[in-house]
Amino acid sequence: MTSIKPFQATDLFDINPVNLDVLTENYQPFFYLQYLVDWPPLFFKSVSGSVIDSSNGSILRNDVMSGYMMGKTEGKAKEWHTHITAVTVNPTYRRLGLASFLCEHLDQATDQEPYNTYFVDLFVRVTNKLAISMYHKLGYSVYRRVVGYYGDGSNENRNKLDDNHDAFDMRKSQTRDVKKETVRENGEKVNVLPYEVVF
Amino acid sequence: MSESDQTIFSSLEVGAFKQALQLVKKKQKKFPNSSYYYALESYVLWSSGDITKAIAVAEDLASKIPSDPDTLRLLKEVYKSSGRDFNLLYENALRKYYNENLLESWFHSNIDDFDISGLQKAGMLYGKQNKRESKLLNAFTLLLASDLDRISPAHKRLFPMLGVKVMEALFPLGNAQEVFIYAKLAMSCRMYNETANVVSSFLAKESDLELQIILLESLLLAENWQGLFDTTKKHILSGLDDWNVWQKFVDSGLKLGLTETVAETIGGFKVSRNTLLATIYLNNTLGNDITDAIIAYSLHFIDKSSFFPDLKTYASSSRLDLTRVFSQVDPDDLKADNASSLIKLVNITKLKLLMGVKPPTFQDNISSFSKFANLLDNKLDTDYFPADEFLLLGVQQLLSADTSLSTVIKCIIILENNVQMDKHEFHLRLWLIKLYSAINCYSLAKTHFDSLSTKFVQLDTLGHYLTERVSALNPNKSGADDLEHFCSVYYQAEVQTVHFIKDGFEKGSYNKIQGMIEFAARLNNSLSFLLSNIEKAKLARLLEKKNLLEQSLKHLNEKLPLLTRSDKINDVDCTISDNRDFNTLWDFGTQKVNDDIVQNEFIFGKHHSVKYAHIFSLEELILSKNSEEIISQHLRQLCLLLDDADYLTELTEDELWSLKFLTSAIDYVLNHNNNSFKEAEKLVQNIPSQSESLLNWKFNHHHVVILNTFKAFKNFTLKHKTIKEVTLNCQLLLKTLKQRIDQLREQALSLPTRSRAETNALADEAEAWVNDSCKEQSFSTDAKKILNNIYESNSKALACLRTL
Ligand SMILES: CC(C)(COP(=O)(O)OP(=O)(O)OC[C@H]1O[C@@H](n2cnc3c(N)ncnc32)[C@H](O)[C@@H]1OP(=O)(O)O)[C@@H](O)C(=O)NCCC(=O)NCCS
Repeated sequence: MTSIKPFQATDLFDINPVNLDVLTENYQPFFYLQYLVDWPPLFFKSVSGSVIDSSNGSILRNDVMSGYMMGKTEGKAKEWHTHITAVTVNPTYRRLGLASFLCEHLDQATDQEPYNTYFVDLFVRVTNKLAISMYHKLGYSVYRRVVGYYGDGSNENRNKLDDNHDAFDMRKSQTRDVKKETVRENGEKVNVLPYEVVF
Repeated sequence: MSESDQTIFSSLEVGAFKQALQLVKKKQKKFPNSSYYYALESYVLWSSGDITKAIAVAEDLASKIPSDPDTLRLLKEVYKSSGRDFNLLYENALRKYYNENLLESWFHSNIDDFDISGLQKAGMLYGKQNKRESKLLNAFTLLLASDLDRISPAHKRLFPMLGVKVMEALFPLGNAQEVFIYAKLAMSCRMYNETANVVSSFLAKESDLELQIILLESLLLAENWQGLFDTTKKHILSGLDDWNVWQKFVDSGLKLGLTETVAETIGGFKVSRNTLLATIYLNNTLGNDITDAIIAYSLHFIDKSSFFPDLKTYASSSRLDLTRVFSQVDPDDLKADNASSLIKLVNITKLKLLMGVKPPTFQDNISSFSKFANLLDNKLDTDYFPADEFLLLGVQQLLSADTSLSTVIKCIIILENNVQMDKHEFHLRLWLIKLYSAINCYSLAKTHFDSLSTKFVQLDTLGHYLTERVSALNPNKSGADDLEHFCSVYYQAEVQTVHFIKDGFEKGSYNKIQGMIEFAARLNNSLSFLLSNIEKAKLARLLEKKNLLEQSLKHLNEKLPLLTRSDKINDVDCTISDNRDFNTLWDFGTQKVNDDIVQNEFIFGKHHSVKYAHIFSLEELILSKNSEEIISQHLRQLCLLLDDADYLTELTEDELWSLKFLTSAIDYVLNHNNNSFKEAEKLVQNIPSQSESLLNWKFNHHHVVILNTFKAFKNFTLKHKTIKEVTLNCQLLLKTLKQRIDQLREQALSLPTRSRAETNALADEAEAWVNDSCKEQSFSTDAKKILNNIYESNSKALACLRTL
């Protein structure tokens, strides 16, 4: 039983079952707060919804946070896009389609006014097969490989690949990109360095 | 701030109050018309503990109605700490010399303090400006204040009504945030139909999740069943599969007598977790048997981990035949060793446990784990392994039966074995942290804690796993460093939250501000933060670290008013907030916090609550204050608490002994009361005994409490001079205490050998147990190696005692 609800700063107190996950980054409070302030509708959570006994109004079960999405919009002109900063799901609620649901909600929320972006993108570790397979299913494709994205910045050679530190920049175009100009085929073979990815 | 002003604040920081005061006086001579230096004088006096004089200077200045923002900020600190209404300072100044900068300064200073009442008061003045943003501020702060527990019923009605009026004057509303403010205020005034109308006409133009939820809520509260039914149905027909929508669709459909339409709509939607659960919900609400609906759900979801939490609520229904649900599962299916069978078995085991139907034995759990252990080889390192639950269930079973040291060791062996293979499983790690802390092995607990990479806010919610008794378990510099690291989170967060709340107001992100204020206040008033400061004070005394002690006392002083309040107001800005996460540890099996185990003194000790914080805050302040008047006040309060059985439950025998000794001995020093001396004398002659086992947190705890008591009393007698006879008697008390400490220090030399002997004996027993109970389930582990690590970690914890 999943509902999507807006994320609030106080949810950070209940985030452990989701954020103790090793692939989920824990940020300084300001990072979450900045998303709340700058993109209020694009930071939301999925909850395993409450069940209320309608005969007496008593709560049979409280909301439990099953996952969340942190999204934002950025870029100029044709680069104006939605970015998935984090999407993550509590292990008890995985393989139910929740992450897909969260991604679709973000796509939809920004595929119209007031955002109306050209595409949605994200970075994912090239080794995170599980997530890559999910994004493929959702219609994303690799746009480029960002060499050393998760590294210490010492690699200056875009052809020196390293699975432990490289990310795929994956994209999906939105309705506004009528000619599908923001995506491309064989993006896996296009290598760039982190400083080249600026909007 | 000028350089010389900076020198004044620097003097304050190092406690050079006299020097600070002299510098302020010089400034007053130089700038006799500047209100700032009079406020600073009051602030310096207040910092030095001369509260009466500080307030006299502050009130004298306040009567002249100063309007300089910096002056007011300082006065506010003095007013605030003495419980005076500091907002009045600004209100008076603005009434006389209204200007926008001063208003902004007031507003911001209330954000700095997360003071909602102050924001509302300043908001009222904004309402007088002729700007849309100012009107919004006015309305929004009324909304914030209307949620306060401390306002009168009349204000609770008045604030939202005023807010609605302000918003109505701004119609037509321009964006989702404006509609949000109006809707929340109107809902508080029970104007549900008006809310629904305004929100739905906005949503016709632009979608917004928050407003969609508010719309459904307002229709529900308006009991507008047709409206609710139509709106939810529209969402469903557009393909939205959201539980909140389904639940309200079912509720409104039933109110309208449209049971069949509801059932058909659910059936006509794609099969999903929500629709199957909606069918269960529908039948349950109608009072029908829910077995078929549950079976239908099980067919699709019994091999998903969400199966158990989804169904838990219905499991005990009299309209459910669970045996029929179980009989649908093909027993052969459970025998296969694939991921799907594993999750099915986990789910069925959990349901059986919940219902008490043939729950599995310890051996069953270990063998279920072993059967699926080979799946670990193909699992992605970062993915989860549902069979780990069998191990946790096994551990829970062992501990429920008995919590002796040898059982705890067995549990550690079971869990350690698996974290080597499944290194990212956090439940196993949390259990290991608890168990290692119980057996006096802080360094091992810390290794597991560090492996979780907990950071920032998580240190507030999970830090207690490590900090709860760190002053006893790791009484050395690294323990102090850990505490400082934990506390640094709060200082960083405070700066960040204040910045973003201001930014939120600036950018008009109103629907996030209340959450941010609550978040900030709950961190600021966190119980974990307070308890860490108490640990810090204890450790600072042991290690003789003056700076650490001062930091801690500053915090305890600041929070004492929240602990001593007698009203029952629950507002976040004036209540200690317990943000600790105790649930994740129990997020397996039936997901119930197991009281039998938690109550056990050995493994968990009693969790420290606000009561513990209250007792030890008073104790630390008694030990540190100079003013005998304040000490006596605190001492009276502490004695009252120690007479209240409710407050004693969290104290160990050693702690209670120490508190009784210190309160009696200090009373003797201050009041020369002979009965108190006799009591203290009796107590030093009857010091509680120490745990025999070194693999017990109470072993270190005893040593540290006795030493801390000695140091605390010694320091107190040095600070508070008294008559000769009393001094001599105090020396006698200290001498007896010192004898016990010498004994403890002497025995500390033989501790490594004792620890070796104890762990060796346990290693033999554990190995025999692994061979007997686990080997045939093909569960193998190197018990000796684990015991050796335990010995090394225990030795480190004991070594700390030798250096004290
Ligand atoms: C990646 C993650 C978000 C997926 O969450 P989820 O709610 O389980 O995902 P979904 O149920 O929507 O899965 C969609 C598809 O992804 C793929 N997928 C997801 N989990 C998988 C797994 N454990 N094994 C194989 N494929 C998997 C499947 O193709 C799945 O479709 P299917 O279930 O119909 O086969 C979740 O595993 C997670 O939180 N991981 C840690 C954080 C993370 O890596 N985030 C992504 C960083 S960019």
